[in-house]
Amino acid sequence: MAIKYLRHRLSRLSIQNKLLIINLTVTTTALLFAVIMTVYSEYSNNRSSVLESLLVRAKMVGSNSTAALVFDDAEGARDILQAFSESKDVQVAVIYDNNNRALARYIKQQSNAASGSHDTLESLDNVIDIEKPNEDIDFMLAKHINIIHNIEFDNETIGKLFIKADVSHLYDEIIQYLFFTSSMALVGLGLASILLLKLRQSITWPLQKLTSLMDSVTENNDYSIRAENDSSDEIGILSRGFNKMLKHIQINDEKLAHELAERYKAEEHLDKLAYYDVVTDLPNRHFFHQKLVQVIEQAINKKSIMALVFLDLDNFKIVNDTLGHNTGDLLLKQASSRLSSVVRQSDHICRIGGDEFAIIIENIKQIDDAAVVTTKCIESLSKPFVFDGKNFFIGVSIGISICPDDAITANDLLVNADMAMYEAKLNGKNNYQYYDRKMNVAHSKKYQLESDLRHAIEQDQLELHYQPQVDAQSGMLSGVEALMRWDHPEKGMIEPDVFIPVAEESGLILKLGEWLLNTACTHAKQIDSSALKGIRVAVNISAKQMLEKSFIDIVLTALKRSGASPSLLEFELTESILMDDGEILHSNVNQLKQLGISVVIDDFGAGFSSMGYLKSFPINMLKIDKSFISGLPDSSEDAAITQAVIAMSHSLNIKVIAEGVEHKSQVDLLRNYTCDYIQGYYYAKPMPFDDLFKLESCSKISSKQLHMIKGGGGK
Amino acid sequence: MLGLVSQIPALSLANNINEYTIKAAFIYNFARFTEWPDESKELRVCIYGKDPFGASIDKLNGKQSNGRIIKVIRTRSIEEVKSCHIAFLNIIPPERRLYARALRDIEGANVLTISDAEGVVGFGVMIGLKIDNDKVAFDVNHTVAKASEIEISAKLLRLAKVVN
Repeated sequence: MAIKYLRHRLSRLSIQNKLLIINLTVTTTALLFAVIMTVYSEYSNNRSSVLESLLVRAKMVGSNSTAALVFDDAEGARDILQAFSESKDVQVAVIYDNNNRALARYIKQQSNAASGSHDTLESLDNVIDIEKPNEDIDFMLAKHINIIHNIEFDNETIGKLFIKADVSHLYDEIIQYLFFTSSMALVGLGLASILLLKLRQSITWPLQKLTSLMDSVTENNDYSIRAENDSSDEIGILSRGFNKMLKHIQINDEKLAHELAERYKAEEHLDKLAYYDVVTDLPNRHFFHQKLVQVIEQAINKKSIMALVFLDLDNFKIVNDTLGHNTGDLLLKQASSRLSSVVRQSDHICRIGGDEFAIIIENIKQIDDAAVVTTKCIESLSKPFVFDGKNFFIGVSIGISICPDDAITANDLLVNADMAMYEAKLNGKNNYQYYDRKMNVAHSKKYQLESDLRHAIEQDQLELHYQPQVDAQSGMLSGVEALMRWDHPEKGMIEPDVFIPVAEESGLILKLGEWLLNTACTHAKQIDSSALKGIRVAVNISAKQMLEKSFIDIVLTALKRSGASPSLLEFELTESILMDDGEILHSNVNQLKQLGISVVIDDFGAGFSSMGYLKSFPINMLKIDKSFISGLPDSSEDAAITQAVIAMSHSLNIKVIAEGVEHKSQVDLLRNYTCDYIQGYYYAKPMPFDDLFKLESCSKISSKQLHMIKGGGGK
Repeated sequence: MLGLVSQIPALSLANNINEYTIKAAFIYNFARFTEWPDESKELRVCIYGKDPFGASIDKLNGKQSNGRIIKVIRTRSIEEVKSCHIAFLNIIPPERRLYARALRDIEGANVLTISDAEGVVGFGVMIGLKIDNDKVAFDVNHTVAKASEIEISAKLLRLAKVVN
């Protein structure tokens, strides 16, 4: 039970204290045992020697008292007994004769033992017969020893000597001895403890080192620490095992840390991809939406004003289509860095689409403050961008929507800003517009138009009108330009200037272009089969069409289906189309040439005039932009440019046509400049296809005749 | 019998016991505490002069003492006394010169001389018996005894009233 209890208590203690307690317990037990044995042995020895000495004295006194006994000399006997007065322990001594009559007695002074008379031996108990010493435990522990000694003389027992000795001094002595040995044992125990404290360090110190090492490992997560213990005992084995384990953990930890670092990197990268635009390094649409929602919420809570500014680069598409995507990206980068440099640090500028940017402006004091920012934006983008040593001008159309005035949700605010931006585009680009509620109507109109246009193509609401082109020298009808008209069932006639941008924006332009090509080819065949046989039909081709791989297939299909002759077809392309250096464009243009279709540059001089393409593409004819013609004949500059263009074209073996010619003076001048063909109201407005055949003299029309027709149209 | 001679239960005269019976027992006891230089098997106890003991001394005959057998001899010849181990001298009248003469005659022999005449120890008798406090007591002239090569036990000497 005790050992179980001890084990239970010990299990809660540290090894140090366990060792101490175990050792002290063992030592104490051993010392206690030794002390008890020593004390008992000492007591036993002392008692034996006391008894021995008593017996010796009894014999001596007995022997000495023989004469006194024999002579019945009580006085002599008393004298002899008086010898006990020197003895400390003897309390009573009596000499008896053979009749058990006390001959003489000695009683120590101040002794209680005198109480008994000891006249006869019968009254005595617990006496030691000297011949048969009593050794039982009662005797051993008795405080008094009684001895009866037979006094013999001449081989006869002549009497008895009774001695009663007080041995209580033995107890005093033994208590002193016990005190002494206990003290020595305690000193020994103390010394043993000191020795133990010193020695146990050899066991506990390595253990303590190991545990403190373990603590520092778990606290600092530092697995590079190692235990230093080369001893061959169990602690040494434990240390080596511990080190091996630490090494494993360290390797795994490093692997894990490496793996985590890689993962963090990947996550950071993904995060950046998720929230940032890789081209411009600006936050992307995703970020923009989150930020917008957040800023709107703050604005509403703080009752402050915020503005959403929506920007769309004006001519980005042209640069991207003509100089390639790499240059387009470069332009976006430069544009975004210019924009970033003009907005305040507290504003958030994001790229939210191809060439669309948005700026979130927080905490503005008044609505007009947004205009300050947008003005700076417009100024920053008005300076030319330089690529390949050439200057490119792009503008920016900006819409501004204010929270909470215009909308209080992110989506509404964005739609409003988009509408305002669209309004800015319609207002001639490179300007900004605040959102106005009226715009909402215009906006929905735009989408309605897109939807209607889709139906128009399917339901044949579109038709082609043709404007005659005249040979400048002979005045004879030489060709017609096909122009699209949309007779909307409800809204009446809709001009191409209105629906072509919608078509381009919505992607309907490809379908529209295909319809135009097919219809024009069919008409060309009819013309060729009529009295007008031999006149050319000019068709406008959009940039998107020219850059389509499948464009030539579409052309071939149209030709095959209509049976039109390619040599009677002219494809009018804008200058900007030819800026693209792509393979598809080159291939398409060259294949057109091989088919025998003429290529005409439309609006020459209006856009980025880079004459280089005149050499690299097989161009048949240039159409001088009407802006130059309108200045004739008064503007000497326009006259000079027109004359120069015609001269240059002819030197390159390229024909020239002038459009927008409205006056006789212009016709005369152009004839003078040896311009090849003329198109314009002076001769004829665009007319329905059927009206073409009302023209007199199939190929020879005079200006008068044309005017007649014009007048006949009644419009 | 043994009790009478070896133990002296009441050596007090008041007990109405004959004085010489006690003295005879004393003589026996003296013999037991005394050693002589010779090796004889006989211990001769001689009564020189008038015999005061009567039959009580005869009880000593045949008794053993230290391995010797006691023989009681009554004699008037001083020459015979010389061959005795113990000689009880009862010279009448008990005069100093008579004792001195007798003692001179046995000088040189190993005889323990005893007498109960007054002051005899002073004359040169080795043991002198006397009555003290109604009890028989004795004096010892140790010097003379030693000169006669007779060894009286210290135990006996201790009981003597006077030791010279």
